[in-house]
Amino acid sequence: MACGAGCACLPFNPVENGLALFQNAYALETTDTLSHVKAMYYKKLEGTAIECELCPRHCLVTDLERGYCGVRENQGGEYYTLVHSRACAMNIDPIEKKPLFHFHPGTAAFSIATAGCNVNCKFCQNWDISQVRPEQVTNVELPPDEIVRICQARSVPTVAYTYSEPIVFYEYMHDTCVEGRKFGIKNVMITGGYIEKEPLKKIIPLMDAIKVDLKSYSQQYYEDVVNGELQPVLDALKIIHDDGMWLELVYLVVPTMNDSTKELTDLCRWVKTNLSDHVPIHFTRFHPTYLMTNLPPTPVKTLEKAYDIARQSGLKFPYIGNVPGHSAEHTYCPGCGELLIERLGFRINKINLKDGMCGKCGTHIPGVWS
Amino acid sequence: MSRSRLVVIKNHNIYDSDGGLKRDQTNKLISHAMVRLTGSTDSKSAWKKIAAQGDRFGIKPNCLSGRMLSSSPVMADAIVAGLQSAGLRESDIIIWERTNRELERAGYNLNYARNSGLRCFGTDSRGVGYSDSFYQKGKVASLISKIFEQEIDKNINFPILKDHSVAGVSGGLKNLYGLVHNPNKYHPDNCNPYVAELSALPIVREKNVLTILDMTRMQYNGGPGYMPRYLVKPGTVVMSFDPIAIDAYGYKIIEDYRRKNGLPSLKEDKREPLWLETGKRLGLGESDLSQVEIIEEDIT
Ligand code: SF4
Repeated sequence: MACGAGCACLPFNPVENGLALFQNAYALETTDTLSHVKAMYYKKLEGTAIECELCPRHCLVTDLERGYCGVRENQGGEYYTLVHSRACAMNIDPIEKKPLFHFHPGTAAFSIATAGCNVNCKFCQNWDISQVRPEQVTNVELPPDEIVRICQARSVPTVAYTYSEPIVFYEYMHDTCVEGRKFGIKNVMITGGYIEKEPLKKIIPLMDAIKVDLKSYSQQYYEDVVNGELQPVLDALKIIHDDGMWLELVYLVVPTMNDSTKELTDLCRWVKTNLSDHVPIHFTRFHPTYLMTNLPPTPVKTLEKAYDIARQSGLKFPYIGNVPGHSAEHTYCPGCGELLIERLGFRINKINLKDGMCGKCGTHIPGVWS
Repeated sequence: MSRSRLVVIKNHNIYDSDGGLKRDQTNKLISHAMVRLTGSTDSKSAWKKIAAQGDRFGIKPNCLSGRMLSSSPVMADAIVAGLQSAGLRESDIIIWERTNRELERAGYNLNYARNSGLRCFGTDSRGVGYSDSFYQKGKVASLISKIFEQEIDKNINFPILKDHSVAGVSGGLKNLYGLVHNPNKYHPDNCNPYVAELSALPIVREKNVLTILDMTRMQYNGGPGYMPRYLVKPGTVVMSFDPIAIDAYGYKIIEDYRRKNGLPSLKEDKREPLWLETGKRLGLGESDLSQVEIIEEDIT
C-alpha cells in the first residue's frame, strides 16, 4: 500500500463520500463494467498461461484467473488490466499529504487510485480499496483526458497516482502521464516501489517526483508484515535516484516491529551510502488498523529517536509525519539551521527559499521548487 | 477416528443426445451415491444423515468456466431433491457462487426471493457482499461471503474436476476460493498452503458437511479454462465427507488421464498439489488413498 501508510491520506472515495460532487461538476459516470485493455509486461507460457513481469511477484496466471493484485486477468492466454480508467478513489489533495515536502510546496495534486495492490501490509489504511477486487468497489469511468480536463478546470498542476498501489494500474498511470504531459501537467507516483526494473525505467521519464514507502530495512518484516521483499524495493530506489528523479521516502514506524535503533541506523546508513544525504525521509506515525489492531500508535518519542538517528547518520532532511504541530514537520537549512518551510499538518505557513536556496545563507536546498 | 470413505459411482446412461444430463438418471446416480456413502438402506434416510427440517443449506458449484465446464445444474437439482426428501423446504436451499454472471453463464436460474422456491444467487448480488470482519488461518486474511456466513447453516461443496495450471488440481478445496473476497491472494506457490488453510477455517470445517464431485465432465489438462480437446465424460459422481480424500482421488484420476494421453505428470509439470499433504497436516482429511475406503460401482 502506497499511501504513506499510516498517514491521514484517506482518499475521497466516491462510494460513500459524495460521488455527486464530482459527478455533477464533471459529469462522471459510475460503471459496473471493468476495462479490457491489454496489459503491459507479461509473457505467454505454454497453453493459455501467462507470467506477469510487472512486479517481482511474477505471478503465473492461468486462463480466467487473476494475478495477486486482483486487477489483471488472463483471458484466453492474453493478459488484461481491468482497471484502466476505472478510478475508485479521487481527491484534490495538498502535495504535502503525499507527503512530498520538497516538491512545489503549497500546491495541489489531483489524486487518483484504482482497486488493487501487489502487497498486503497488515497496517494498510486504505485496505478497503487496495485489498479488494475492482468489482467490489464503486468505480467511475475516468479516462486520462478527463483527468487532464479536471486538472485544467481546477487549476491543479499535478496528478498523483496514490492511495492504493499505482504499479498495479500501470497502464492507466502510463497513459495519463502521457496525456498530462501534452498539457504541462506534472505527475507524481506514490508507491511501495515493488516493481520490476524495466517497467520502472520506462515510467520514470514520465514522472516529476516519486515517493516510495520503504516499509522496513528487514527482509523478515517484508515477509511477515508486508508480504513482499526488501531487495527489489532497494533496487528500485537506486534506479529512481540514479536517474535523477526527485525522490522522497516514507518510513512508517510501527512500535516494536521496525523501530529498533539498529534497524533505523542501518536504514539511514543505507540511504546515505546508496542514495544520498539529501533524500528526505519521513518517519510517520502508525495508527492501529486493518490486521494490526493489537499495537498502540507510535509514541512520539520513538519518532524523535528515528529523527535523531537520521540526523546523526548525516541525513539532512529527516521529518516526522502524522504529528501535526511537531517542529520536525518543518524544513531547516542544513547550512545555517534557518527555518525554511514552516508547516502545520498539510498547511504551509511560511517559505523562506529564494530560487531553491536558503533565504538566509544561500545554501542550495535540493528539491523541485519552481 | 474411523476410516474416510469415498464413493465413486458411474452411470454411462446419464447423457442425453445433446451431451447434457438426463434428470432421472442423474437423480438415480446421486441417490445411489448418497446411500452407499452413508451406509443407509434408502435415499431418504441417507439424506437425513446430513440434513434435517429447518436446516438452511448451501450448495456451492464451480461456475468459473461457463456452461461447458461447470458443475451441472441438473446434478444440482438432484442434490436439492435429495435435501428436500430429508424435510428441507426448497426455499431453505441456496445455490451460490461469487457472481450472478458466473451462475447464469453456467446455466443456473437466478432467484433472490426469500420464500419462493430454490434460491440461487452470487455474493455480488445487491445487499449481499462479504463479511464485516476478517477470517484468517495462516498468512492471508479474508472477508467471506455473507451467504456462507449468515444465510446457511451447512454447505455442500459441489465442484467439478479440472486440471489447474497453478494448483495442479481444481476440485473441492480449490472451489472454496469462491468463498473469499480476495482469491487472488491465495495463488502463490502453487496455492500451497493457502488452499488448505482456507478449508481449515473453523467456519468452513463446521459448515462444509459434504463434497460432491461432479465428474460427468472433467478436464485433465489446460485448466481451469475450458479446452475441449482435454475434456472427457466419465459419467461419474464422487462423494465423501473427507475433503482431502476426494481431492486426492481427483488428483489420481487427472494423473491417469494425463499418463494415458502422453502428458507429463503434474509433478513433472512443477504443479504437484502439495497442498493435499498440508491439508492432511492440518487435520482436514486423508491424502493417502490406500488409507481410504473406496467404494466403486457402475450402475449403468
Ligand atoms: S502486477 Fe499484479 S499480476 Fe503482475 S506480478 Fe505483480 S501482483 Fe502479480
